[in-house]
Amino acid sequence: MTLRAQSFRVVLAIVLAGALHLGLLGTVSPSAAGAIGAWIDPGHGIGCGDVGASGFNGEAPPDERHLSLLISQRVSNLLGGLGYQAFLTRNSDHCVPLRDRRAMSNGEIANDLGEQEVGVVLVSVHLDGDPNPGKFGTFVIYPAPETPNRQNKRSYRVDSTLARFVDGPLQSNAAAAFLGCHDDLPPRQDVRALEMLKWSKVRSVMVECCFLSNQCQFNNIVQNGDQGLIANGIATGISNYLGQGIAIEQNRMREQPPLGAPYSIVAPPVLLAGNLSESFDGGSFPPAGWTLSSGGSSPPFTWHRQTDPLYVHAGVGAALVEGEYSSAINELLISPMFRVTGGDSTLRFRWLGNPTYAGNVLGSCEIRRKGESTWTTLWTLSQESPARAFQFTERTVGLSAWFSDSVQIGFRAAGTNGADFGIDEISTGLFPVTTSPTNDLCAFATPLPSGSFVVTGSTCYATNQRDPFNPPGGCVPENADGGDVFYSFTAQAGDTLIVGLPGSIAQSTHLYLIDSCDSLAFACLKGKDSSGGEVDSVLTYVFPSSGTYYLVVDAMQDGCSDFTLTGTLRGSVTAVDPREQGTALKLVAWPNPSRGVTVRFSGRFEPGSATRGTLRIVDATGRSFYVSEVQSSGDRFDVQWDGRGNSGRRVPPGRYIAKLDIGGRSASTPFVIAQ
Amino acid sequence: MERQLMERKRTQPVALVLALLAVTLVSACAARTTAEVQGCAWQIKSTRPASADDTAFVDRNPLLADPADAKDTPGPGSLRLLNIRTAPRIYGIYLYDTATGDSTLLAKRGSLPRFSPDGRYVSYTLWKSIDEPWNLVILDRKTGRSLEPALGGCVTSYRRWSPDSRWLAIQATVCKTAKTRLVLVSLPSGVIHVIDSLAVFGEYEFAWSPTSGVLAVIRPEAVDRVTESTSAADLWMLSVPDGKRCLLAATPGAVESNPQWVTDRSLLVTRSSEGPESIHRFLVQLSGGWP
Repeated sequence: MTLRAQSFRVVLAIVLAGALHLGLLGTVSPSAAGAIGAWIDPGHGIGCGDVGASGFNGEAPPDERHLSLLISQRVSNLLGGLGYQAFLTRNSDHCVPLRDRRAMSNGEIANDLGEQEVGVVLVSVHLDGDPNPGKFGTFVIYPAPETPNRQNKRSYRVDSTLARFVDGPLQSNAAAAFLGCHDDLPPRQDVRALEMLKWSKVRSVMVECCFLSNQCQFNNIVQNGDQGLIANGIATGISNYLGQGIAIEQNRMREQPPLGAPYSIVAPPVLLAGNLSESFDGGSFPPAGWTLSSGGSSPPFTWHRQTDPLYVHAGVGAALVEGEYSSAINELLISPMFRVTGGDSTLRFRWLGNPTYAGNVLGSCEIRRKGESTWTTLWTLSQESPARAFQFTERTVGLSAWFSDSVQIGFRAAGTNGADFGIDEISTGLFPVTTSPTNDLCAFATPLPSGSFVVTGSTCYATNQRDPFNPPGGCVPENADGGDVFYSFTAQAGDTLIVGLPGSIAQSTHLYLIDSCDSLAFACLKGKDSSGGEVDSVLTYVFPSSGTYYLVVDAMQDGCSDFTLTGTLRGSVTAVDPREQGTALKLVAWPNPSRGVTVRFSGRFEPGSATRGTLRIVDATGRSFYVSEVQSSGDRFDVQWDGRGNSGRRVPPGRYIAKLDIGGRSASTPFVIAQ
Repeated sequence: MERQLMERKRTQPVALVLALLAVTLVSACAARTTAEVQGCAWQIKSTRPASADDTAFVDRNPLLADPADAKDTPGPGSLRLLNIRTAPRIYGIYLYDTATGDSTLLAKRGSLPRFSPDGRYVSYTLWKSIDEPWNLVILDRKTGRSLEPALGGCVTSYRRWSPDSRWLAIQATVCKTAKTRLVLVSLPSGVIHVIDSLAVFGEYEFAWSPTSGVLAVIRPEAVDRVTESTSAADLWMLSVPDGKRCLLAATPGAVESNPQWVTDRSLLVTRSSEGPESIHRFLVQLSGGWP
């Protein structure tokens, strides 16, 4: 194909790309078409014997390669939320030669996801190790000015500036992450001729987040919250540099000869621009930056740190106000001020308490803007179902109404003689806002596919609409006062339904079949009560007549959970649909769980059926994140999903369901994107 | 003795590094590492610091040198290969004639395009899937045929055409096994010759002699687990196509890099042992050859 007319565009593209690469187009900002590419390099990788530094725990995971990937993914997500393009040199745990990592940042080759972009910066994320286990600290390395291989001598000055931009917020957050073992080591020039730095053509630094060989730092960095702090520091530094540093740098370079002595630019004040993250695992309370406001109570009847495992969701601590106090309390735990950005438009936390006593002491989550004295309620304990008393439950609320505002979050316990109220694992980010399941009500029951099916769902945040023991003598021998969700299907006379729940879920969940959504006229056809957790719970029913039926998954009081429902709905032997004989549409997600962000869906179906279908990714609540057309090849299909929703943003870690509809058939499979 | 040499070297780096290099280089053909040594008769005749007059062979032939811009690489005459974005995050390869302004799309997707020195072939890297992200493709402009040597899906960005355009040397890793190999692809047949493999996760460097008969190979022997940097690498000579090999410089604790032939009897090599302050470039004069 000869495209003479295109030659001008081609040359223009080269000129523009070159100008951007050299930073000649002036200040660049994320609003400029999201054009700024930051390459984040998770150091090391498995497969080549290259695990990096081992942890204090020896050769057992996690090693440097695991942690660098987890932190890098967070950095990438945070930058994406701030409007930058961010790419990873490896998106899963595998080995990538160093020269290829550099080539990726130069835009010369694609990464493992096929993404090829010129970067403006390259930040290599590492965790150090040292024979001396007493050594700890956090530092940033920038390239040496003169090596025979150096291709851009100017970059010394540029890189040292980038290093200082990253170092500022990184050290601030590292101080919070590594309480008791933080050492603010100054940015240093690379004296080891590190491969990642000496050949890179773009502004590049290497971050050593901590020493894995140090017990204290190791124990901190394996915590999600502390990984988030470090990632936030790095992302904030990169964001500040891309937003301001490049412009400052260019002005300064006009003032001084380009090859003069290195200088550093004072980074702007640290602003927590990404995740608010607190899990109360540090030794001090309130944590750094947090404050308390008390109506006069004293511990344990005001906010304090609780380390009793019964009151801790994850890690070693949680915040708690103890109940059954006969005097009035009004206790407020207040977060540091932070700015709500596109990257932290939701707040996620886990609460512990008993909604039954919300009228006595009301637990709540509130927000206020900078300078305001009044608080706005985001969430209260009273809106929760009694089914979740005294177990930590996740709740996510939206902050988009406060976008670009500087705000504080408050957790309040107010009233008299109520129940314990606890909080743990607080973070801001891009999380799906918690809502009731889409099949919370019988009228909105989720259709079950015919043939074999595997369906995931959740009874959490569902209302309690049906009680299989009411009236007594119903199809299960006891009440199920927790939330319930519904699945509908059409059966012919003689059809058989076999459906089961794994024992771990069946311990606190009933499964039963009803013939109508009419709350006054339904009949419970068959039920399977709690198995006690020892065995799977399996319900089998042969339908005597044709009709529409409803399968109910109903939690016992205090027992909501996510679940996987496995079963088959088939006709009698003489009524089997020929299309379903051994040719059921099957869908497999791999890897599952995915530690990276790419999930591959593959499967088979009978030859000759339709070649085009639709792949849909939804979360446990049914919220749709991604819809795409897929095309089969023969009797197979193989689709890769890069973990980004149709909005272009990566979906947060969590449980998801892939649903494939093709040729009038459908299949689904649950999968998990791990952090 | 060697420790004393190392201590003194810090105070008089160039002279003593030269001495150390001479000692170690003259011990050529010492069989070590897992690589097999066959019939080695190469000798280090002399070494001296490289000067500005020592122009590498590749620098005299722009089609052999690494291009300054991997997205705009030179070809014969007025031709160039451009790596241009064709879709979001996807780059295609265009043949661009600077004399006429004509551009021709060679590949809708690909990166790192390089002409062979005679201009007949264009090699590039093609992303296929996350399981096989980096594949070598060689387009034969004479026949229009594309070769896709089965190299395991993880070739690196580092590859070198022989001056006679009959061979392409490339570091290739089999993704599934993570085994890193040095491979020669014979043109025009596309036949693969695996000539070495590594026990460590390191990176080869290699350079073709001007007559295309010898490949000077820097073979990594030890890689620092924490910094991922090569902490020991040796210089080998490999005969093409018969695969004879000869260890020319065994230098524990030091790293040779960036080999570049000047003539068929001399090559430039960089040696470093303690970071950037101890990096030195030498011209190595060779004698002997294959028996």
